[in-house]
Amino acid sequence: MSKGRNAEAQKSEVLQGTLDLMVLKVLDALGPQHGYGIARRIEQVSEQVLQLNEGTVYTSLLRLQQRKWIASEWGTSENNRKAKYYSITKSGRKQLARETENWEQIAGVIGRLLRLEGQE
Amino acid sequence: MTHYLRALMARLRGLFGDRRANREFDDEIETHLRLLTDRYVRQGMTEEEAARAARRQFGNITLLQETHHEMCGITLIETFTQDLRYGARTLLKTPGFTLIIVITLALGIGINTTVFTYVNAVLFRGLTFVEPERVAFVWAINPARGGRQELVSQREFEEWREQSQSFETMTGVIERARALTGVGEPERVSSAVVSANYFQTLGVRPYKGRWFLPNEDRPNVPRVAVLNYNFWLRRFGADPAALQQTILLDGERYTIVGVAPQEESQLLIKADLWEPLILDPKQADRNLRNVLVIGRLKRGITVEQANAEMASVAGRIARQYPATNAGWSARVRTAPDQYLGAEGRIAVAMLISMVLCVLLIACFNVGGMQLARALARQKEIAIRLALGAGRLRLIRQLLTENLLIALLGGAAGLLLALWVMSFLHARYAATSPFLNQAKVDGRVLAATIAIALLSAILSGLAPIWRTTKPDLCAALKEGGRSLAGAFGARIRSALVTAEISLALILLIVAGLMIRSILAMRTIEPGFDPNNLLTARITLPERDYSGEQQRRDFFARAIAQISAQPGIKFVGAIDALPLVGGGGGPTRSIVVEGQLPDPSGRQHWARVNIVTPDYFKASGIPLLLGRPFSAQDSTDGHPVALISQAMAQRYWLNEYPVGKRVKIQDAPNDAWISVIGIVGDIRDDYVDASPAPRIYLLYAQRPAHDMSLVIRTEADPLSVVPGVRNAVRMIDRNLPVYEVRSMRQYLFNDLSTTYLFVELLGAFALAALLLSAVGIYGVVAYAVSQRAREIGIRMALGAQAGDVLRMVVSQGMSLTLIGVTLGLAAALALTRVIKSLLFNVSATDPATFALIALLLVSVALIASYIPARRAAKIDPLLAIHDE
Repeated sequence: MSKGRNAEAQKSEVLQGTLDLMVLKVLDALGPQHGYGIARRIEQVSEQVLQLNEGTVYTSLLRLQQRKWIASEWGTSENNRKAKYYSITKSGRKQLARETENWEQIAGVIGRLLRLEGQE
Repeated sequence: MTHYLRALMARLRGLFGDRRANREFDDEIETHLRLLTDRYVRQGMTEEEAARAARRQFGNITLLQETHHEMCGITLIETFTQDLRYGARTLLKTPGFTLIIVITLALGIGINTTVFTYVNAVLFRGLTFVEPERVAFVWAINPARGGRQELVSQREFEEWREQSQSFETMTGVIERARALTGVGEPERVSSAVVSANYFQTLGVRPYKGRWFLPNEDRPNVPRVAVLNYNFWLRRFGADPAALQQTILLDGERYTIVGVAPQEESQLLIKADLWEPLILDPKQADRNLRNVLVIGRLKRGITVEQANAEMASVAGRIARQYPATNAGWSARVRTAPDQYLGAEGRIAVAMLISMVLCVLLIACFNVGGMQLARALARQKEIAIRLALGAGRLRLIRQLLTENLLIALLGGAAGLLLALWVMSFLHARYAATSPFLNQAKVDGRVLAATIAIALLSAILSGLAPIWRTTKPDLCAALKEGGRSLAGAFGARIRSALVTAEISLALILLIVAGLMIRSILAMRTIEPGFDPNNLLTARITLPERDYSGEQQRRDFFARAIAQISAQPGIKFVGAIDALPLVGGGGGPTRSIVVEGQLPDPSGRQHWARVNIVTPDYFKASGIPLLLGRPFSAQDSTDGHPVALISQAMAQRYWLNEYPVGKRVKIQDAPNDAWISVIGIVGDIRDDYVDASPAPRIYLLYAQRPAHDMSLVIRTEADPLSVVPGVRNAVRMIDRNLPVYEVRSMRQYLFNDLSTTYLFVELLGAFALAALLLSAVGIYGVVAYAVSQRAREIGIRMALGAQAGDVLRMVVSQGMSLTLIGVTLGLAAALALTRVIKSLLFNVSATDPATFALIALLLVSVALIASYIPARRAAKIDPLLAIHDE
């Protein structure tokens, strides 16, 4: 049971990190958004491949807020309701750049690895 | 800037459980859901379908909210409130059990609070002047005269003051009674005649006005006085204009210059007013010892150093004036020590130990009960642990439960203490003045809270620790209960055995003290205290300056009073026996034909002045010779009656009648002849050896200040109006005061001891009760644990009687062990209180045996009740029960 639990934890951590990255990117690209807007954009970009419960976005947003990578402000939504708008901060942009570089490095290595295997 | 402020506010809010953040998050979710719903509606769904689809898309809202809440950080306070509520619920689920625990704790805590309040009053609040440990009494002592603390003469006081180096200030006090006139009703007042620096020595400030100026204790200065607060209230209606008013004390004019503070404990000496001590340069009589000396030790000087110095000063004076001061030394005692005394310290230590014992017993009981309950919840706790509850979190929650119990127990205990104290106050307030100072103040409250917390947590700690140990398998199994149960039973048995030992010790100590006090009540005082009325009269110098005037007054007064109905005998004495505090001043004497000891030890005796009928009135028998008669008039030969102790001391193998003595303070230096011997009286409650006494005839020595001693046929207080009338008919302005029955006097003197003993009795009873509950608990628990076993036994043929015997013997074996241990401990410990006991040995076998028997019987009953239930167990039900 313990082994399985670790794997679960690992998977959720990876998923957490990926989602955080996506949220940061969305905010960086589109500017201030509320949670709904972020969820729509992610859905759009992933072209329906990523099926997540939209609520998890908020968990991600809270994490990012606690690390001070995004800031929030209250405003009004399209349907005239109170909504919280999130925007990326300077340190958030730095983190985004770091993570992007990381991902591209890993993607490059794995790509080469996979091509290597294919050749054999 | 505002951004930071906002962040700070958010953090502060977070500390207290930020509900606003939760609500805001709910709003956010609501908005998101709305937007989703609208989207689905635009895609063609109905409102209802859209809403459902939106929810599905969103995911688990509750989980999200909880995660959010958790991530924002659950505050300490929030968990605490959670735990409190959960704890309260759990306690309410078993109300009977909770009640017993709270009551047990309340008993232990309540008793502790009561005792602490009294000890606080005695030790800490008793002396409220500045740095009480530096204020000391300086006594004269003479080993040849019994080594008691005695006063000094005026000359000696002056010499001590000049020659001593250890004291910052030294002050002398003479207590006098004065007739107050010039303001309304004439009244007899008690006056403390003190040196000008008395109040500075104590370090207190006046309530109104001022103290004496340094020059106001010299002769030929206008006389001033300071009033006692309560006296000022009573006589002058607390009128500030009383200051600067003039009063007459024994005919002399005094101006009131100040009022003392209300807190009487600040002033050391109790009196209606204070006047300056004007040392009479002509008063050279070194044998007149009436000055009480108080001093403030210099900083850095210890009592021992002061003692040594004063002893050498006294020694110098003794060499200078051998005739009067040979054999006299000095002794210094600090005020706290003086008031508490060695016996007081032992008594206080004993009280506190006993009280803590009772608390310990209560804690053991509660601990045992908590253990039982924790074991019963073992399964619930095991499940929670298995499901992933943090052990520390669980412990914190259980501790919070205990905290709740502590609070309830503490509050109940406090209430109990207040009730007990109000009861005791009502009973003893008039006679034990220090009770008025016994209030539950901050110190006592803090002690109570500390004890409540400590006891509840200590008694709960062991069970908590034990039951949250992750040995889950055993706990979850069906029969696992009995394993843990056996362990619990062992601990509880040990606890109860300890309880019983403690209870036995407490009961024995209480028993010894109670016997002691009962013995004191029935002491042979040497006179008959029943149906005896006493009343004090002081003839003011102004109206009764002549000896014949005084003789006439008392002759008339005694005659008038004797004529009243219900009166058998009337006599008078200058100092009442026993209750007058040793009755009569000590004087040096010269015995004809006997030289004083070459080592300087003088002959001495206590001297009283009496009227002829005194002995008949007080019931002191004449043993030899003849009583005073009418012919022993002032022109006749000076005569005296002596006590048996006196005869044995100076004329052991001779016939004392006809022998002569001289008293060294006598105005006329004449030889006095012994005409007879009377019975001894007790000087002290505890000390049985009577002092040698000489009784002089009033007609030959007419004093101003005498106490009437009136033997009545019925209740002494019934003749009081008649007595007052008789005196008033002779002199209208003469107050008759300190009118009491002798029995009342004796009770007053002993009342603090009675109070003490009643408290002890209460503790012992509480200890007994708690132990009984403890035994009952253990046996009942054992029965519930062994229910199955008992059922099987009965099914196999055991009779009810067998079961009874089995269960009771379990309880009794614990008791017997406890009693044995307790007896051994008591034998060792009671010698500590030996000095407090009167007429009872510290290892009195009767008391020990009786108490042991009492405890065993109570234990028997406590074991029998659950045993009976065990015997009634239906074997079928018991076996089937789980």
